[in-house]
Amino acid sequence: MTVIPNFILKRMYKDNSLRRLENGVGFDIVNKLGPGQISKLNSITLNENIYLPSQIKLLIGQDTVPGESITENNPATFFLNQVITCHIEDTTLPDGPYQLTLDLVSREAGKVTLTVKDTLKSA
Amino acid sequence: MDIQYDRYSLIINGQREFIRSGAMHYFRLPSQELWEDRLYKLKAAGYNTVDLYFCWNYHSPEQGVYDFTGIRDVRRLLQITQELGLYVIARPGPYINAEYSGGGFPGWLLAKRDIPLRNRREGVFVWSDEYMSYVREWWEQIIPILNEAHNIILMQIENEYATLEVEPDYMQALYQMTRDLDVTVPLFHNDLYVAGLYEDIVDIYSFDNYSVTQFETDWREMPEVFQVLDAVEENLRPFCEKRPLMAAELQAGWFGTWKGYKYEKITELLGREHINISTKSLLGQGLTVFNHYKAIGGTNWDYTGSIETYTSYDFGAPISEAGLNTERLFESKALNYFLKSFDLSTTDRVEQFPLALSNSECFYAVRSPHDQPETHWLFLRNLTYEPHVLTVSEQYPVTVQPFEALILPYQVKLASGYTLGFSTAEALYQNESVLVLKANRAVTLTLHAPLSTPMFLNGSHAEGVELLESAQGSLTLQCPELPEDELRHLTVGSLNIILLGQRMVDTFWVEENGNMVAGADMRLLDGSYGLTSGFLTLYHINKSGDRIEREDLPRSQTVAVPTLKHWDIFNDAPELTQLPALLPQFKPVVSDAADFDANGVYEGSAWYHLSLGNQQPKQIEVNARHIWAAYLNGQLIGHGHQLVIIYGMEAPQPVKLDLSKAPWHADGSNELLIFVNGLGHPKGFHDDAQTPQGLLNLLIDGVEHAGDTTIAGQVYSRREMVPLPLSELRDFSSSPVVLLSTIFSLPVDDTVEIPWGLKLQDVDFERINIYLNDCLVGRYWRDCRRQEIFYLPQGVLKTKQGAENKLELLLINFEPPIDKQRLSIHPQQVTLHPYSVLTKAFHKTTALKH
Repeated sequence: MTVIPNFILKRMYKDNSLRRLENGVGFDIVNKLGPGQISKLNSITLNENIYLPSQIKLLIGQDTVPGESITENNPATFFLNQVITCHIEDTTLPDGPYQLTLDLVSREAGKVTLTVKDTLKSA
Repeated sequence: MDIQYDRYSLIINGQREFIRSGAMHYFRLPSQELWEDRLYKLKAAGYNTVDLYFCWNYHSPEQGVYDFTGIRDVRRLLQITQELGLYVIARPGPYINAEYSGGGFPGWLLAKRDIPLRNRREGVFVWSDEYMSYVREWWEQIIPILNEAHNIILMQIENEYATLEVEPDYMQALYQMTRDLDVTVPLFHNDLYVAGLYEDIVDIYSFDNYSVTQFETDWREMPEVFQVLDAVEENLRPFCEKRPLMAAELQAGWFGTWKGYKYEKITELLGREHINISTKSLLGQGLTVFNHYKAIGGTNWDYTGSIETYTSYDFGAPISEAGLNTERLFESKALNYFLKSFDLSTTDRVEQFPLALSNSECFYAVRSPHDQPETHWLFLRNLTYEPHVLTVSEQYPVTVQPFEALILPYQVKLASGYTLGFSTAEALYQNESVLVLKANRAVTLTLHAPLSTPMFLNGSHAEGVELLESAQGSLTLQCPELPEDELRHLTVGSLNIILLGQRMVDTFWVEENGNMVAGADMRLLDGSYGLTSGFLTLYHINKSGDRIEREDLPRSQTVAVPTLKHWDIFNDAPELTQLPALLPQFKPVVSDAADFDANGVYEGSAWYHLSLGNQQPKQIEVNARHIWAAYLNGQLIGHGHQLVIIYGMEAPQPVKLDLSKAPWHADGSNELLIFVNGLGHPKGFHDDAQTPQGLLNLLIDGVEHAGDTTIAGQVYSRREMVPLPLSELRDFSSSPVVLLSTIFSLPVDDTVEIPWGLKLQDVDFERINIYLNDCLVGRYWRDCRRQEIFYLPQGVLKTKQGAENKLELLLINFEPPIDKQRLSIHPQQVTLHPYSVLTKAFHKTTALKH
């Protein structure tokens, strides 16, 4: 594994960004490491709920990228300081505190696992 | 040596210094001749510093044993740097990465698996007194030698280190240890994340930057790769209010891997533009200490390379593995010459350029020396495929070509006393009477005289130069872009101006005595210049720049390349046919592990043996790294290779072999032999340096038997250290391991310089190890055909008149084994390869004395 200090990883999560979106929930990550490419999205976990790439979309700028379309041959480019919204198709999650884990693979850094806590609140 | 620093730069013995460093791996250059040659070329290219890792593994073959002799004589290495007048940035680890096997940790330490190397396990901080005691043992060996040298200006502790929670203990302990060992120079660490890691522990904060590490996409399609560099001043100045900005590693190439790219591709993709843009971007950020990593290519000779790297470690470096200057060297040389003669060591960022710019599309930065506020340097950069044109002050048109970066002068006081008002051409060099400019674009420049005196333009080679304006004390002239191999010479008062076309810029050299030469691709260690056969014209320019002499050299004679023939053939797997006689060489493996490290075989190959007696198991399962073959009673029953690297980690890959139809002996004399060839250790970047090689598991009908085997190690590795009587066995009909041996001598011609390689073409064997004079200089792997020309290192290769070179090819092919028919190697399949033939010329210093 590549050793990325937790304080750097946690800086990548936009605090209090867990929120309800159309047909699901979402949160934001900000690239604080450097320009790179995501070559695989493994999963997102919200407490005990595990979401696979087929249930995830990444909103990058004006583009919507299905999670399962991201591969070694079709990576998603992620620039420095760019914001990506991770959209999860699940309308059943209740409000409350969540431990959130984003597990992906970057071409530059290898496997990256980001774990943070946030609270889902209905507007 | 007194080393001070402030927010601008290092101050060495009271003098501000802009540190222009290039990295060299002495452990990848297996002769002192090579060290001298490459360091000389580095210095000639205007670098004033060499960055040196000191590799623990390379000096410590066994615990408590340290070797600092011959090709490991770092005192001599440091002496050469002092003789050349280079500063040294010393990086003694303990961990160095460097794509060295085990990241530079010695094999005996890797074998101690209970020790958390770097006080870290899977990113979690774990303190180990025992590990620290071994670090101290290494540093007590190497640091006193470093302390003897008087040209070390900086020392690095650890390398790209971090833990998940960034505990300070380890770095603090290393800092204190160096001070306890009487190191007085400033200490730094290279932060991979450019995030201020350990900045409060070290003296000088520093970072690494590799903007292009993926070659699937051309970086030109993704110019955002420079974003980190572009934010250096904003992000790092808060850590560096009282110390200079420093890049411990600034990308000057990248390493090739068995499953990655050939160096031709890496070099082509990076191009000459990348090193120019990245370095000038950092200069635009006010950085005054940079280290091009690496400036000099090398060779993963023997088993120095980490698992993923093939033999060449050319790195796409400015000076290639074979010692040739590349276009990337020409770029860095031009930058170094510029920085050597123009002072950018104390600049501050200025928001606006004093002259009006017609547009800001290519604007990158403006900097001004803090004690010369009228002087400005304009940084322009074009990261698009289209040329951009802007006009400065409605008078100076500048075209910035695609993927080009420029630094243009405004009101720069010259050493000659003149002032360069503005120039659309970049400055390359100056002294008290000469100004050299790059006329690889249309030039418009304004000069001001030291006194308000009339100025006149003259010139012996001034074709195309036009005087636009002349007034009391100043003039403006212009010159169209010069053809690449042309130059112009003008005089303005007492100032000689030399304008150079692109190739003249690339081949421009300044000698120690101030004389200059244009037209030569290389400066060579014997004081001569090397010219490629395409361009055989030299321009000799005297120090004051008022005399230029042209010299046309005769084309060199064609070099006769010796043919390799008369191969002697040896069976090098006698274990398969004469096992009883050889069994005394096999030793029981240690009780809990059969892998190489645990049994003192840190690199190379080994045979494992297990007597099965009357057992006739149905299945065995072999888990071995990295290339292996299993034999029952001398016959192949299976083979495999294991090099699966997933995000830097090796995954296990056991192979099951069905023995139901195996060649069992009914008399109970059933002998299992397993040959394993290791590719090296991982480099440890992912805490994986201790990943074992060799036989890891041997399940016989589901029961582990690896611990019951015996091992004969280092059979084929370290051949120069271990006599090999087995190879004297000539009789064989077929064998999986065959040694071919021949002798050759090279033609001697003092008028040329030739770096030599060995080319393999359509040679159909799984693996080939190439030994030159008992030194392993090449590892070919057919399935990962990344390299087919192998550099024959100068110094290992004997080049004197009549000197004989012994060349051996160790061929490995499991299925089918190698028989005499397969050994009918055509002379064109294995050939000596001249990388280049350089015609030598000496500077006419006598003629140009005045």
